[in-house]
Amino acid sequence: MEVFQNILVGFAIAITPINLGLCLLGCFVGTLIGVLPGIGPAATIALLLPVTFALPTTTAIIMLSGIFYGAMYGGSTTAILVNIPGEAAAAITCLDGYQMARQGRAGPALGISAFGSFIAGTVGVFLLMLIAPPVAELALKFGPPEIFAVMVLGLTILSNLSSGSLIKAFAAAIVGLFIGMVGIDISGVFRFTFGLPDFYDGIGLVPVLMGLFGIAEVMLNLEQVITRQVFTTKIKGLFPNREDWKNSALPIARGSLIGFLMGVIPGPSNTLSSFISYAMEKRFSKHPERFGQGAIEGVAGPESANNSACAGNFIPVLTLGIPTSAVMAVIVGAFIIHGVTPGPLLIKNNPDIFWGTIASMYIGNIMLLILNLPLIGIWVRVLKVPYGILFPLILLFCFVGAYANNNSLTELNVMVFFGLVGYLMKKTGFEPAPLVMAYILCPFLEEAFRQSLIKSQGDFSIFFQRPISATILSLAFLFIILNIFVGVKQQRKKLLAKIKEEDRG
Amino acid sequence: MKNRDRISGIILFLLGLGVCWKSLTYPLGSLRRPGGGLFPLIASIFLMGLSAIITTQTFLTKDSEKAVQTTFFLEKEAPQRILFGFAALLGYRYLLPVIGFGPATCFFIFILSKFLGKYGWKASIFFSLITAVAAYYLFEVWLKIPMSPTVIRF
Repeated sequence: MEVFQNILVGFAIAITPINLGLCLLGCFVGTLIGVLPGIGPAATIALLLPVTFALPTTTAIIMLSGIFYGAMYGGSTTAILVNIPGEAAAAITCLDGYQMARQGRAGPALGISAFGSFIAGTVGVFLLMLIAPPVAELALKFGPPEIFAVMVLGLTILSNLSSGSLIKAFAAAIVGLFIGMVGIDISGVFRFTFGLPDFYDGIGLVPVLMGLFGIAEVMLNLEQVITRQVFTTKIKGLFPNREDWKNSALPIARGSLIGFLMGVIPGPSNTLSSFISYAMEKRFSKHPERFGQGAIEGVAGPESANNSACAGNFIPVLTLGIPTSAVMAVIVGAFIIHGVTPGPLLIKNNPDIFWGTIASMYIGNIMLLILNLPLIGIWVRVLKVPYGILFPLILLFCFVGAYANNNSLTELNVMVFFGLVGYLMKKTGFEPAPLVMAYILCPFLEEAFRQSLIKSQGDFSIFFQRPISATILSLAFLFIILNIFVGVKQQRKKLLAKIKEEDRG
Repeated sequence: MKNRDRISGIILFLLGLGVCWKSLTYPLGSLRRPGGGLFPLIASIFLMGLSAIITTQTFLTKDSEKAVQTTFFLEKEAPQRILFGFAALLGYRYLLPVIGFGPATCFFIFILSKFLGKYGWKASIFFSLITAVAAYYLFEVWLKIPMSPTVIRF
């Protein structure tokens, strides 16, 4: 019952005019960047971080969260109408969504996507509300070895699930640790500052994020001239019919659950959950051959899953202070900039932020339903804005955002440098997400590591002697072994196929 | 991809080596009382190990004849576009403290829309002027963000 009392307090905070207004702004901006391919929620949240400096923490987090889940709603519009995913998580929606649009059923496709997202988003927030407090309670019992182990597990899983090689992901994470070490450490030693006073407080989060996500993303898009053909047939009948609802009810329910569970796991869970949901729906379907030809289940399931995953993403952040994806890493950065450390003590020390944010998510989902159904015409028009107009504005916002952070020209140099680093990382198969996550976690990880060693008098076995940390580290180890095993199996399969081919030849 | 991996492996190894050397100049302390240099030292050793694996893998794996050669750039003009993009960013950064936010923004947007956005002279001038004026009023006047002060003001 305490949960329901708390959520009522949360609603009292969320419905204040400023919080409602900025929740709407966040949802609007989120949908906008979701609709526009070429800029993701991580870059947008980083871009808007300086705007939140003057805002109360709760209001800032409400707005930034709105951008995140709003982007998931918007991503499907582009997938359905243009056959290009506005967001990576909407990639699978292209398969059936675009086919539905070609068959003159763009309306029901957009409708079921919005309704599915709304239902799953609300279910996800409900589960978040129920699960987060007991998890935080449990996490309060964690000592430095357990905190260290949880962070190692988070980094391992994120590295495991990042696209590309595990070794590269780990290497990126270690580079992230190096960036996080710049500045004065807990014992007062100046590390890697190269005598520059601008680096005494460490390398700023905003310029790093703007560079890695904003600049690098624009540069990748600049390699080729992007042209997009918007599906121009008039969109009518946004409300799905009875048959559509019958076919979509179970996929939405399954998508909501699978999405939430996937969201809790570190990694690109929004994208993964939509792919898993699609595969699951195809397997459960009596007519799997309809998938790819305009099956409404292929839109309803994945779109529900990626929205529910957004709520799941908040569990590790709000209860353990561990970001599970690049977007969550930026949101953790926002908490830190506002002087609040997310983690087990958040619910206890800052209940207004926790419950206010959760309550705002319920309201945000209703706002997004309105933004995405009656206002669909606006988004179709937005889709027609050429990239040639958009990218100079994105770069300008990156510049102003990075400069306004500390009014420092050095931060602009840092941003351009990390823009180049992010671009080269993408070109050479290194994911920036583990780097960002390690960079943000570095001070906490190092502190937990050093405290554990002091506590154990220099004995490394402390991490394996305590049952919780031993279990968590074993899980991390298991993930690495599993990855190696899967890699070896794939190599073996390839080799056998090659031998067979040679024998035939 | 093999060459790219080899080069990135070597760069990462050198980075690890640099951090390792630098961390030895900080107090390492002991395992009972770790100093500021211990954590970077351990992390750098890990990075050197991982980069050695990345580099070694490129020598052990053979390119199959049928392997699709992935090009570094998607289009022929891409290297020029990327170089131009980064040059424009650096140019904006260094112009900002010299000529001020408004003129530097106008110049930056014009260069990008004319040469990377491939718009005509008139459209580029119009777009850059509108953007610079709007950005000036939005950031400097309305949001009161003190963009770089200069001798010449907009």
